Amino acid sequence: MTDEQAADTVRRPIPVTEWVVAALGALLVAGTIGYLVYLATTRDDTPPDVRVVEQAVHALQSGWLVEFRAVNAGSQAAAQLLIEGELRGPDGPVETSEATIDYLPARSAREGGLIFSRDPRRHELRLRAKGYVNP
Amino acid sequence: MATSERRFLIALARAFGGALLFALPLLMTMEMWQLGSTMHPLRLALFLAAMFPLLGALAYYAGFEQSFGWLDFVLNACVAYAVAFFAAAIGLALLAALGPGMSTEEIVGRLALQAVPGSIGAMLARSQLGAREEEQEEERRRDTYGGELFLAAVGALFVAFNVAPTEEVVLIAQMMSGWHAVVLALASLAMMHAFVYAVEFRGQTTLAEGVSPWSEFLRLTVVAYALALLISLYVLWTFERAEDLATSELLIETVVLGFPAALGAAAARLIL
Repeated sequence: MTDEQAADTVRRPIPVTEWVVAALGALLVAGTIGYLVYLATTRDDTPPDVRVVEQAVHALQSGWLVEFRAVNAGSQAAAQLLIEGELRGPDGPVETSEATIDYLPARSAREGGLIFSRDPRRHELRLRAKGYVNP
Repeated sequence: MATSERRFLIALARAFGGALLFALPLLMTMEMWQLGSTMHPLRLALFLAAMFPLLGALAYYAGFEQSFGWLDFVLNACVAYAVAFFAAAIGLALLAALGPGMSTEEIVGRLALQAVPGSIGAMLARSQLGAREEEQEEERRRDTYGGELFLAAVGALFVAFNVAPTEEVVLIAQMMSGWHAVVLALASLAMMHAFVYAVEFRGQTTLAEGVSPWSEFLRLTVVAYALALLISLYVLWTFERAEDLATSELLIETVVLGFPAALGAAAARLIL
């Protein structure tokens, strides 16, 4: 009988590496399940609460780019989130631009850009989230 | 290095390959990235927990290495999970679907969800990718009634899991009339039976003498289809695709997902 055949019929000794990897797996699963249960019991189900912050302004070949970061402080995700930027002069709004974020998870951030034909630095810039649907 | 250590490392590498191969279509599915953080955490936790005994049983029938006692099955299930998490993390990171800027919640959800198909892949790596060696013992275990149904259920779960995250399941269900659903259900049954008994695939089962084809149909094919439908329903519920639906719509959705699940069940009975 060769070693190979012997190993098939006789209970093999369990290698140390197997214990280590198995322990790691058990830890990962137990940890993940524990964390998910913790999330479920502590999450308060607050609706998406989005704040849009200006990151940087760049001059483009034509127009200006405002880079923004949308931060969701709520515990629910928002899909098709519409972001609007408005440039205001002394007599009210002069230009608006929009961008849509496909999907913004709970307590996470996504970045994007709005393009204007006027220089945002010469106007008052207002950034806000306009609406979303539930994923 | 001891022979047993070397054998285990080879099995481990093969399991990693299996996990990556089986999880790849889902690693590259956008809905899977989002579902990890939108689905209810308790449903995801339940799914992970339910997978554990299933992996243990899978080790009994077709593990990534030869297994003998209870301890082996538990260890193998844990190893399969470890490999699956690792493969999911590497796969997602390589595809830029995992990186800085994501919340812990998002990362854990994404990895945990991807670990499910990966762990099945890790477990099946030996029977699917490895050399076909001495397997009489497992072959014998698989050839029981319970073994056949269990493998059918695993096949159904795996294929249903691959299809369920997409929007198309909901869309197709909406395009179908009640009659479409009836025809699809009957066709699923017929195809399942044909897969296993009529078309000449590898590992095909031939009817034992004296067993009527009808009894085989009722005993195995119909029961396996029922399992496939139940599993489809469970997967839809887990992915929150069953929310706010009329019963008739839910039923059609289940039959739609039941179609690939049924073929998965039939294929698993042949391949494994």
